[in-house]
Order: sequence, then structure tokens, then C-alpha cells
Amino acid sequence: MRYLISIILMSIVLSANDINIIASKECGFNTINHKSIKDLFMKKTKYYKNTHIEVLDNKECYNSFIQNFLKKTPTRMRVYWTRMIFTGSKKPPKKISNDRLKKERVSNMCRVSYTTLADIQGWKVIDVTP
Amino acid sequence: MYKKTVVTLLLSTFSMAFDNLSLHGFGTLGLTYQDDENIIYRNNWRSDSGSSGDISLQNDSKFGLQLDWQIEPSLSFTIQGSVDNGGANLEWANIKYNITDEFDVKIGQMRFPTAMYSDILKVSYSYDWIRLPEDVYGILPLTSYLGGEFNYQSVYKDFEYRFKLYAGESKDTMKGSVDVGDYDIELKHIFGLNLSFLFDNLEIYTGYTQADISITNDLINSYFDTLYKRDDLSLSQKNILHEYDPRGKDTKYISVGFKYTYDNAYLVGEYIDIDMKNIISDNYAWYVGMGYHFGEITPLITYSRVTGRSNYQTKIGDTQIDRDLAQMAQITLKSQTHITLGLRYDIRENIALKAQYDHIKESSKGRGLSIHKEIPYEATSIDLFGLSMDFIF
Repeated sequence: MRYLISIILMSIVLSANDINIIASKECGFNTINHKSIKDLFMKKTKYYKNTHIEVLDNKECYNSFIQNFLKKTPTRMRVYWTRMIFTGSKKPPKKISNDRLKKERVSNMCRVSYTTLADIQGWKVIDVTP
Repeated sequence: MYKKTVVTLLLSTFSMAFDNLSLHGFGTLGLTYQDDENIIYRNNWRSDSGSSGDISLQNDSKFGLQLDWQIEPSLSFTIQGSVDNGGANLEWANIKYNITDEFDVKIGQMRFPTAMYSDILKVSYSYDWIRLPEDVYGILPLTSYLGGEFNYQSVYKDFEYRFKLYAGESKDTMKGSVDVGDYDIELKHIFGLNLSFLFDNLEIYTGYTQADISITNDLINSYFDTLYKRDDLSLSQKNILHEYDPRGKDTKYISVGFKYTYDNAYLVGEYIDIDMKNIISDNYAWYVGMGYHFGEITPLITYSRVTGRSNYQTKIGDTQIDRDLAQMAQITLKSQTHITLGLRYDIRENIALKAQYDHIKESSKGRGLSIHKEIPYEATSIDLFGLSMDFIF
């Protein structure tokens, strides 16, 4: 029974519509496309529209985000970051909670993250284009 | 009050330092079994121990730690060490300076980027096999080098590309077959470049390395040095002999690889050609494999092959010396085919269980990569069973 429940729980994955891409107020853009989200969160680039960006993962909806936006499973993503870490190439984005996101706006740097919440003070929800 | 301030300052300093430090680890607990007592199946040139008619824990087991220190935003230090059946090894120990976000320079000890997965060779969690295809990776004895490298990577629309230029030197001691014994390999004046492309689901890797190679041990040194002193050999004979001398000669590695991912399936392959300008035979090898990710379970199949080309062309004109040189060329000529069936199961976050069966068929045209306890021997087949648990933290 416990096994069945865990399978049902595991199968509940949030859709892309349930996740808002958010940017700190310092970011001078209000839309972002899927490809750029993927490149930024896999740290293939640190720029979007000539703006230097720091990305933050949200540990409360991380799995749903990478499945919907990066088109990767959690396992494939771990394999990707394993290679990056152990070759000294890149480090994965800092993974924080919704509560922490509210407190993260300490610098004047443009930051991009995501959340299931409708609104987080100090952040703006940006539109995602194909 | 003073003490409290000092303690607070010390703690905050330590905290800041700790924030800039990160420790990661990887390891494999592996069991390997092959049933032929006359053969030692090993997965490491630095070791002559492995499975020999018994279950071996030494073959695939390893443990590594990596410490990263972000000294300042553009400057970092990485050190990575590992322990396996070849002993303790310093894999990485370098300072990295990010000149821009796309361009960085590394100085120190780095992994040899000769093939597509060379930089991650020992971190088995990062690939689906228990061990990387030995026909390609088993003919690359040196795995790290001391020097510098320049890296450039960028994304242009759907096209991601990486460029690496490196130079340095490398040295290590290898365990050879029973008739050769241990020997030292030294690479000087290493110069190499890699170019990788990622377009949509296709990754392409190309690599080129050139260096001056010296392969030495007491047997090789005394053999060639004695012949140079012989008065009965002419200058032209000694010149030919000098061309075969495996000390301080050019070598070139050329490699290409690809990985194509379609949905949950992938197709992967590599080819490497090692060109030697001495009596050591050239070897070229390739593999092609495919796998499918059924959620956390990934079955895979790989076919690989290594073939040698003898560099012994011009005869000296002395029966005994020509026989010796022909034998040296034959000993270093590799020839085997290899089929791998594997299964990876990601049982928990950061832990993967793997099972693998390998059927290796040696060819009479050269030697296989395993060690035979008795020389001469008949080419044979090796059945290898492996179970492993890979972990990272």
C-alpha cells in the first residue's frame, strides 16, 4: 500500500503552467524564451539580452522545473552536474526555498528563479515565450 | 566583550572561508569475476592485480575526494585525489582564472583530455557502464598531466561549442606483461587541442595531441644502449635502430566521438588512433554503444575493438636483432574485440547500481589488454561479470 502511494505521489508532477519564472526587479526584461531558460539553468551561458544573470534553483519545485523547462529527469540532471563538478567546470545553481527567495534580493544583480507561488515580494513574474 | 568580539570575528571569517569551500566525493564499490586463472583482468595500467579466476574487489572499486576553493569570483582552486588498485593518485590540482565568463585559464595538474570521457574517467556515476570501454580508454595509459590549458566555450543560437588548448608534461610507471615488466612512460612537450560541439541532441568531440614520448625500463635501456656500443654494427644499422628506439620520439593521438540523444535513447561512439614513431606498435580503437533510459533503469549494449599496426618495417640485417625487434613490435600490438551488456539502476539520489557482462575475444594478430601469466599463450576469450555501486556526494 505504501509502495502504491509513493508511486502515485511520484507521478504527480507539476506542469509548466504551475511554475512561474521570476526575475529580480533589477532585470531589464519581462519575457524570456525556453531555450534561454535551459541555457541559463544549465550554466551554458550567464547572459540574457546582454544582462549578466545569476540563477537560483527552488528546491520546492526543482524536479518539476527541470522536467518541464530543461526536459531532463532528476537523474540525468545529477549526471550532468556530476560531470561539471568533477571536472572543475561549473557548479550547479544555489538551491533555495521560497522563504529564502524572499530574502535573497540583497545585491543589485539580475537574478532569475522560479516558484509555484503567484507572487514573491521583490520579484516579478516574467512571461515565457516558446 | 573583547573576547566575544574576537570570537565573533573569527567565526564570521571562518564562515566566509567555509562558504567559499566545497567538498565533493565519488566512489565505486565493485565486484568483478572472470573464471580464467591464467589471466589477470585489470582495469588500470598502474596495477597488475585484478580478477584472476576469482571475485575481485580491486578491479573497479575506487574512492575520490575533491575540494574546491573559490578564492575570489574569477579565481578558484580545485584539488582532487583518488585511491584505486593502482594506489593513490592526484587527479586535479589546479588554479583556474576566469578571464571572462566564456574564457578561462587553468594551471597545475589536469586530466588528460585525450578522449570524450577522459576528464571523468574515474567518476563512474557519470556514465552508464561500470567502466569506460577499455578498448579505447585502456590504450591511454597516462591520465593526467602537469601544465596549462585555455578553455573557451560559448553558445550561439542552438549551437554550443567548446575549445581547449593545452600543453605540459606527464610521467607514470606502468605494470606490463610478465615478459616486459614494469616500465616508465614520460610525455614531454605535450601540445593538444579539443573542439566540441553540441547542436540540439548531438554532441561531437574531436581531439588532437602530440608529444615526445619515452618508454623505458632496465630491459629497454640496456638493450638499445648495448647495441649502440657494438662495433660490428654499421652506422646505417645504428640509424635504423635509433628510429626504433622508444625513447624521446614523437607520438600523436587523434580522437573523435559523438553522442546522439533521441528522447530517452542514446547512441554513443568514439574512435582513437595512437601513432607512434618507434618500435612500439600503433594502435587504433573504436566503440559504438546504445542505451535507453526507462526511468531509473538504463540497459545498454556496446561493441568495441582495438587493432594494432606494427611499426617494424625496415630490417636491421642482423638475425637476432631483427627477431628481437619483431617481438617488441608484436608484444605492443593490441588486438581484441569486446561486447558489453549492462544495466544501470539509479536506486537512490546519488547512488547507482550497475550490472555488466563483458565478452572479450583476443586475436592471434596481437595481444589483448589483459595480462597473461604465462608467455607464450594462445589467444582466448574472457567472460567478465561485474556488479557495482557508484555514489557521489
